[in-house]
Amino acid sequence: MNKKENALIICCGAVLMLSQYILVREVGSTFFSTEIITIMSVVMSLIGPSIAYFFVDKVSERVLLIWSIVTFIVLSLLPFGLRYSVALMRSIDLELPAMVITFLVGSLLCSSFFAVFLPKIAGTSSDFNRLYRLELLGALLALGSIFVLGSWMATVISFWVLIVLVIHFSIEKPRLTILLSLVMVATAASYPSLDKLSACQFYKVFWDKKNPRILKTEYSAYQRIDVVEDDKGKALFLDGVPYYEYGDLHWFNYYIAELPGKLVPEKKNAVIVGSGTLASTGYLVRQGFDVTTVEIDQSVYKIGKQYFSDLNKLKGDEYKLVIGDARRYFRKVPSNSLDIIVLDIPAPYHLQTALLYVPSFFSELKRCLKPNGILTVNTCSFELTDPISASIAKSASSVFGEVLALQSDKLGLTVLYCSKNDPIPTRKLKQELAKLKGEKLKLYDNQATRFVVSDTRSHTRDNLCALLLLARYELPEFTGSK
Amino acid sequence: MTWRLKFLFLVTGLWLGFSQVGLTFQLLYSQGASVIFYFALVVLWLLGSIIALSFFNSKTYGYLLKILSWLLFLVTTNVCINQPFTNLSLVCVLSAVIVFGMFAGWFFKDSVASYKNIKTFLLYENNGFIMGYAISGLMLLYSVKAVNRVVLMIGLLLIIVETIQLVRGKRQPEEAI
Repeated sequence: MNKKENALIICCGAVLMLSQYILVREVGSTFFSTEIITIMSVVMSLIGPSIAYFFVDKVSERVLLIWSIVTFIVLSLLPFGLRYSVALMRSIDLELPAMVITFLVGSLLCSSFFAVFLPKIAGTSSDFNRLYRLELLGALLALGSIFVLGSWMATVISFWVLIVLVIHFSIEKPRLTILLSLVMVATAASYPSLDKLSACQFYKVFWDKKNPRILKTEYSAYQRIDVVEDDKGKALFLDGVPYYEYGDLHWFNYYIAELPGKLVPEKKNAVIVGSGTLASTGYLVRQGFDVTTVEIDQSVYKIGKQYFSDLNKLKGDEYKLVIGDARRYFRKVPSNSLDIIVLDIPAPYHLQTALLYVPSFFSELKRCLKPNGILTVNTCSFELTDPISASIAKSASSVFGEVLALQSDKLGLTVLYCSKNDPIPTRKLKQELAKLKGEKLKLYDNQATRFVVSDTRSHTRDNLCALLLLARYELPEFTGSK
Repeated sequence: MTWRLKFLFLVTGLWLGFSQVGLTFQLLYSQGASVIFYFALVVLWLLGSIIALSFFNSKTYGYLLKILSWLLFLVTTNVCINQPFTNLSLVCVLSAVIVFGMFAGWFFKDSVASYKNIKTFLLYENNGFIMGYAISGLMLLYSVKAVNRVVLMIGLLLIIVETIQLVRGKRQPEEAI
C-alpha cells in the first residue's frame, strides 16, 4: 500500500468531517434554524457514505472523474451558493422544493465521493483496519484544525484545499488539479464578497429588508451572526433568525428588562442571561442595578457591544460579563441574592435553549432570587393560550408561587413575570403600562395564568414540547400553519 | 452474506446511532451547552474507535465492550439526571462515549475480519446508524426517556443474542481477529 493511498484516505476522513460541519452550519443558518433542521442536515451528510458503499463496485474511472468534478462544484458553491439559491427559490414561493433539492443534493453530492475510496482500496481486513484508522485520524485532524485555525474563512479554505487534494490523489490528472486549484483560489479570493451578496439576497427575501447592507458576519463556535442594516436601522440575526430588529423586537428589551426592573423594590443585583445587543443590560444599569450579563457566545457579546452601542448606551465597565453556560453559572450563585433575573435568550429552537425553559432550571433561578425578586421569561408566542406559551408558562407556574403573564400587541409576544411567593406589585405595573400610548395589552394575574395553562402539558427536560412545537411551526409548507 | 448478518449490522448501527444521540443529550444536560463538550464527545468517540482498531485483537473484547457500554449508559443516564455539573457526571458520560467508540471500532474490525465483505458491512452499518440518528433525534424532542430506554433495550437484545451464540458455541470468544 503506497503513501499516496494513505494520504488520500486521511484527506477523505478530514473532508468527511469538515463537510458535515460546514453543511450543518450552512443549512442551519439558511433555513429557519431549529433542531429538526440540524438533525436533517446531519442525516444528509451521513447518507452520502451509504450511496458510496452501494455504488462502489459499479463506479468506472470515467464516472469517478465526473463525480469528482460535480462534487467539487457543489462544495465550492456550498458556503455562499446555498443561501443565495434558497433565497431565489423562496422569492418565487418555492421554499419547500428548495428544501427538498437541498436535501437531495446534500445527500447525493456533499460527502458520497469521499467515502468511496475506503471500500475501494481496502482489499483485506488488515488493509481495512489500517485505512479506516487513517480515515478516523483524518477526521480528528480536521476537528483539530477547526480549533487551531479559529476562523470560519480559514476552515472553509482548508476544506476546499483538501477537496482538491482528494481529487488529485484519486484521479491523478495533474492538469485537472491545476485547473481546480485555480478555480479554488478564485473562489476563496471572492468568498467574502460572494457571501455578502448571498446574505443580502437572503435578508431581502426572507426578512423583507429593503436595501440591506451586511455590516458584520461572523461564524462563532455556536452560530452565524449577522449585523444587517437597512433604511429603518440595524438588526442582529443569529443563524439567520432575528434576535433584535428595530420595531417589534425593540419592545422586547423594554418588557423583559426595563419594565420588571421598575417593579423590583431593591435595585441591587441583576443577572441577564444572553447579551444580544446589550439593550437589556443598558436598561438595568441605568436603573442602578449591579448587572451581571451571562453569555455563552463571546462573539455575540463583542458584536453587540461594537455595533449596538447607540442602542444599549453603555460606556464600558458598568456591568460584569460572564462568558459561559447559564445553567452552570447559576449553580454558583448564592441563594436569595438576586433582585431580578432576565432570560434574554432565543426561543427554544434548539436543545441547548430548550433546557433554559424547564422546571429544573427555573427551580435553580428561584433559589437565587430574593423573596421579592422577579424573573422575566419570554414565552415565545403572542397569546398565552398558544401551546408553546402555555407549555412554558405551565413549566414556570409549577415552580414559582406567583406568575403574571403580559401580552403585548406591539411586541407580539407574551412575557411572564415570576416571583417566589411575594405578589408582584400589580398596581405599579398597571401605572407603568398606562404610560404606554397606543399599546394594546392583556394582563393575566396569577390565578388567571394558572387557569389558562391548567390543562397544558409542561415543557420539561423529559418532554421538550415547546421545542418540538416551534420546530414544527417553522416548517410552514408541511404544517400549513404559517 | 446472509440476511441475518445484514440485520445484525443494521441493528448494531442503529444502536450506535441511538446511543450517540442519547449521550450527546446527557452531555448537554449534565455539562451545559459549551461547544467544547460536544467537540470532546466527537474526539473521544473517534479516539475510542482508533484504539480498538489498533489494539483489540481478541473477540472477547467485543463482548465485554458491549456489556460495559450498556452498563455505562445505564449509569450515565442516572448520574447525569441526578448530579449535573459534577465531575462524576462528566467522567461517567465521557467514559461511556470512549467505550462506545471502542465498541464501534471493535465491531468494524471484527465484522470485516469475520465476514470479509467490506462494502456490504459498511452499507448496512451506516444505514443503521443513519436510522438510529434520525429516529432518536426526533424522538428526543418528544421524550428523552424513550431514547434512553431504546438504547438500553437494543443493547440488551444484542448482548442476549451474543450470549446465546457463545453458549451454543457458534462463536469463540477467545478467538483472535
